Amino acid sequence: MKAKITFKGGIHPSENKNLCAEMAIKDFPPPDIAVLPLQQSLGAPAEPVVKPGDKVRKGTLIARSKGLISSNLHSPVSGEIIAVRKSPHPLLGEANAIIVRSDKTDEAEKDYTGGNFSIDNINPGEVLELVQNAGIVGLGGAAFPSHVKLNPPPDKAVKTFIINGAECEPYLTADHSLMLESADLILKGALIIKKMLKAEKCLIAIEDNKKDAISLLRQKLASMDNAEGFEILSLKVKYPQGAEKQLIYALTGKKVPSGGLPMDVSVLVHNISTVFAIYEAVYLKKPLFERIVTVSGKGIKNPANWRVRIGTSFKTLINHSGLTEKKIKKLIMGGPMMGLAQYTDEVPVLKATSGILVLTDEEAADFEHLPCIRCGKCVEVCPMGLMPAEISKMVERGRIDAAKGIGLLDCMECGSCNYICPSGTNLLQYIKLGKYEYMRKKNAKR
Amino acid sequence: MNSEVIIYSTGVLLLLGSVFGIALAVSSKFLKVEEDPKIRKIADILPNINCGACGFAGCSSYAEAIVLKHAKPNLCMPGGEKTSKKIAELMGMAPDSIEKKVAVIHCCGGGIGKKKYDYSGVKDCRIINMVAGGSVECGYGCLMGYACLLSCPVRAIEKNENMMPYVIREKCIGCGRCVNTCPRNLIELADTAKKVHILCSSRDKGAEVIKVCNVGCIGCGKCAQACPFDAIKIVNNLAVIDYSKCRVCGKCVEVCPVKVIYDWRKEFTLPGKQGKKDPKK
Repeated sequence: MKAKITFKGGIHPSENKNLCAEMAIKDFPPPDIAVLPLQQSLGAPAEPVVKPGDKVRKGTLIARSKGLISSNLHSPVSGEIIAVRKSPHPLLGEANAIIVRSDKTDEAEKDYTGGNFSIDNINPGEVLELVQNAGIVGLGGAAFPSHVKLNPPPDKAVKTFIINGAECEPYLTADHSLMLESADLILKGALIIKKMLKAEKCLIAIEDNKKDAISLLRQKLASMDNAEGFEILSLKVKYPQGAEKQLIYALTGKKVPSGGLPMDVSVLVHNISTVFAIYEAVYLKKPLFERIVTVSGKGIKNPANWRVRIGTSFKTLINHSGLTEKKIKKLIMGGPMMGLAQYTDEVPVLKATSGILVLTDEEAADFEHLPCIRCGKCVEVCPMGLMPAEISKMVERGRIDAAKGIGLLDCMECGSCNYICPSGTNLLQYIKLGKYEYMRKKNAKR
Repeated sequence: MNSEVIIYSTGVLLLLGSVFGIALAVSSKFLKVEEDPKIRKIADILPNINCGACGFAGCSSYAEAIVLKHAKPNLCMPGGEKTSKKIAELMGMAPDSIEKKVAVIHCCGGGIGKKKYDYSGVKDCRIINMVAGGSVECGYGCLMGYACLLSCPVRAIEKNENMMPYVIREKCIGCGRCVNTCPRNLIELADTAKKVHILCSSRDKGAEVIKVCNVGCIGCGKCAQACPFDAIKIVNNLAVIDYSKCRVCGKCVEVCPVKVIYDWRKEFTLPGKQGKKDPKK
């Protein structure tokens, strides 16, 4: 057998995926009140096109993208807009949001089943417009608007299209369950993107702990038309295998330059659920108003993968799943490695919410922070080949420029250094602080 | 062992040693860099705590700058009037006056204000400030992560019984290091002579301030009316003293309904848990 495909560095955190692995996706009932923050993606917040009192249906456009890097927002329920006001936001603390009260009829703007699309005479401009109108963003967690990624400048043609099904974050099984449920539809979505970009190869990369998904996709691929150039690859189980630059290196051996984008090495990476959303947008003309969310953690009684409407509050989801008797320590949006701890459960599900984790004392124990002993383990595991200890020390002392010189901005905040550190130092926190201070200084100069 | 080895190796070492020794002696004579003896003298006068208040990298580079680049002799904050005079004398400059500064933390409610969430991460307010906009409900108040306390070169900042940092004015040298570390820009360098300060930075409206903290400026404007010199203005719901007009009469201190104006000539304690209602109840 061939050596497993991987990158240099990385860690092996305990997976905890068994809590809700191989569980079928269940539909979560539409919420009574949906809170839809205008800032769903990276870049500029969308601009509301509705006002309080307006009646909307499921799939009605309620906020239009503003600027180049921005995305449309659609109502996930049918009902009435009650306000546009500041409300808790999982990433920003507080931000403007459109609040929709459901009338419980769940009437859709149009029928979103049984669409039609002819793949053979595909028009890239048309697909791009469909994707943009549907408000699709990267569903892996970074929420970068997909239509921007699908429209590379003409001098940077995409040769290899990679579909990221690694799902290397512990606990999360949303992508895994989606692959098991809709493998053929994902392949259809992949074919759209491959055709529109005229890519030579389409690689679907899945971590080796999802053997059932790999074999299912291989099986479906064998019976698919237009399957030339497609390949399904099994990756070594390691964190952060699903990080864009690490994935590209593992599959193609190419290194994305510092500060560059995958298109600089003629590669495009999309998450597997984004590909599915693109399929839905193109075939069914369905906007992005629901997604798969893993609700897990040892604090949750019935962990599951839910198909949830965007804007459902964490509270509803957690109450529905039930809490165990154990003492709860943390509520996290996303995976335990890169996710963000929340201070309130009033926050809504965003387009980028891949998981909601309720962690108990045993899972998120506090530990003592001791001084760095200069063992070099963080350097060993850093997938970007940086020196986390040096960078964080420089930031702590306020030397942002010096930290930038040794790769502060190349850090992708995977947290491997923090995980491996035997002294429990706060490497990543200071690196994040450094980036924050750097951006603040840069904005102040303008 | 062969005696030749010892003789040769000793000989070679002796030869090398003497060649390098002579080379060093010659170069120290001919390639000598003349340093102005004044630089050494000034460096001795300066306090040598390298606080950076003068704007140079440290005391020795300030000394160099005085001699070579004619920097002003009155930039050393911790040294004060005495140092400035000595340096001016040595350099033959006219002694400039020096305004002694002291750091003032414009918040006194961090420890008793309402908490947004229990924070259990890194104890550094610069980092707490990034987590969902800080751990206290007040968007302007101290986060009690003590970045200022750690940055102080003379340990002039301490915690009071309420875990709120405060400046010991006698120890503070006015270097201004803490000013830049505070993520919420609460610290200001003020003249030591101006002894009345408003210890709040909240620019929220009064009603919102009362909800989260009971020692916050509500922007009522009583102090502005009471001031006989027109030195206090309400800017964005916050009373601000214009120190160029303030003559330290202390009238504003008496009228403030929330007691956030303090007079450093009088005895006082910063608000603590004792005698104050807990805002959570």
